Amino acid sequence: MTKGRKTVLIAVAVLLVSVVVYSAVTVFFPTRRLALTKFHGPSGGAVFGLSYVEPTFENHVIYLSSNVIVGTVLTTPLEGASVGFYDVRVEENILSRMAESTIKVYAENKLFEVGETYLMLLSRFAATVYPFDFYVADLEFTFRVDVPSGQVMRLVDPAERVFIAPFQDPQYNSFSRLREYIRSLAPANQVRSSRFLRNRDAQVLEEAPSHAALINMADHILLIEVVSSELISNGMLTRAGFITLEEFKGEGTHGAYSLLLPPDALASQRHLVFLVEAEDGGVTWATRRGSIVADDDPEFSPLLEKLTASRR
Amino acid sequence: MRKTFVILALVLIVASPTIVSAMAPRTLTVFHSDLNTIGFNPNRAIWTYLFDDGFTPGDFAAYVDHARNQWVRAGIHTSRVNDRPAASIEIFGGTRSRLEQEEPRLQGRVGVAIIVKSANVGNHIYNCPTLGARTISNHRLDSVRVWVPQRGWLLLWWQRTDRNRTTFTHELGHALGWFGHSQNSQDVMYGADGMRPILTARDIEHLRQNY
Repeated sequence: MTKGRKTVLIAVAVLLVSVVVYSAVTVFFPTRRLALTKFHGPSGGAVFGLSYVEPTFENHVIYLSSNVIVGTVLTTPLEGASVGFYDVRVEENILSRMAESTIKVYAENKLFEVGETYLMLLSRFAATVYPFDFYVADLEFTFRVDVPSGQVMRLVDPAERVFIAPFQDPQYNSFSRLREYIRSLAPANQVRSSRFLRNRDAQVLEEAPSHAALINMADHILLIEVVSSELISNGMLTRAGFITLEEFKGEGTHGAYSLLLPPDALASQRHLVFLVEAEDGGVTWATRRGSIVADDDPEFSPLLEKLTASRR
Repeated sequence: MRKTFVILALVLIVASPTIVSAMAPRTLTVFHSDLNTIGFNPNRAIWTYLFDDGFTPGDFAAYVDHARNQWVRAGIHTSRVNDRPAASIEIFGGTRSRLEQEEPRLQGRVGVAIIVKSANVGNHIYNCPTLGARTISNHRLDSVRVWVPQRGWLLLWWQRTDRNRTTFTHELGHALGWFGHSQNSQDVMYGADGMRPILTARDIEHLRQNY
């Protein structure tokens, strides 16, 4: 058998196995659809997303959630911020287990209230530009858990704090029954959620062990000057317009017209930036700490000298 | 003093017929959203920004223009401006990795519209044939941000084009006042991804009545 023919046969076999596995998952883990209670009232919601999947509760659990938890809200974002981080104590892991007992949940302000316990559909988010990993709350399915009665209520109007019984079939409005139902969706979630949640299992490198390692791992190393800066809506980063003063490694930055920098990056300040290419062609910080070095940082001069020397 | 106030009020009424007409309580003839809220955007000036080469500038402009042309069919005209403060609609494009860092709520979504500033300006009435009279909350939109990342390269080019056109048109619809989503999967304003780049009569009639 020729090498080319063998390759084609292997490819066909892989394709067939994939189809069989996918069909088996569909057959053995069929998706039911719980009918949601219709909400006939105004909504103060301010975020509208076009979802990858049909907007059913099951699809949001299976495709769009890395974790489902019961959590109690400990703190809210700063007053006046439109969006930000809540500290949430994890009371129970329902879908996938998280190691942390307290997590950061990203959502618009006033979605959750301190002291209340919610069933949260979450998607994990890990990126070097943020100082910690966090979880993004699914706005469409926010459930408050009433511990004494064992019932769940769905938040349908965050501005007016309107809650309704979520499902038309009343047995699923009981927390214990809903928890059981969500757990039954776990096998399908394991197979399907990685399709749309790129960050589900991403691991972020906190810091390079040495300057040499940082230089080695970066796809692009630039000396830039910030020409404009604007704090993004969550206040955690600055969107900086820049000019490149020196390019030590890599060619161009894949058309990046602006870079995300720490919130204190100032116009006219110089920075050494160590970037890696993302799968989709964008660029991001190589590590969580040490990839953006401002000219008032003690590390700036030694790094610049090392980079300049390496060019000679 | 009172005379000045009356003159000012008259000037405002004469100069802003669109705003006044959209703010006036009325009885809506149809209603296709899953929320009892509708809005209007009196400014309708669009400012666009590309973060990186997720889209080519030409493709990005073409998708925005497609969306604008679709809403012209509903009688809702928009303009493009280079001066950001003059715009009430900001549209951001780029690679998914970059846009998600700026707006993590994009995760699992093909596009997001975020209402940054709005005001409730009164109520309309909709006489629903099945549920009876419903109160529809009417909002004036002053600032909306739209985020649309590039598509994966696994899609065939015509699928990518049609899906992008659908997303841009859908998100511009939110920026112009379409709150919530349609329950009909044929509509551009339905809540799930698809290839529906042309507004349906339902999409159009829902929002046109608030302008």
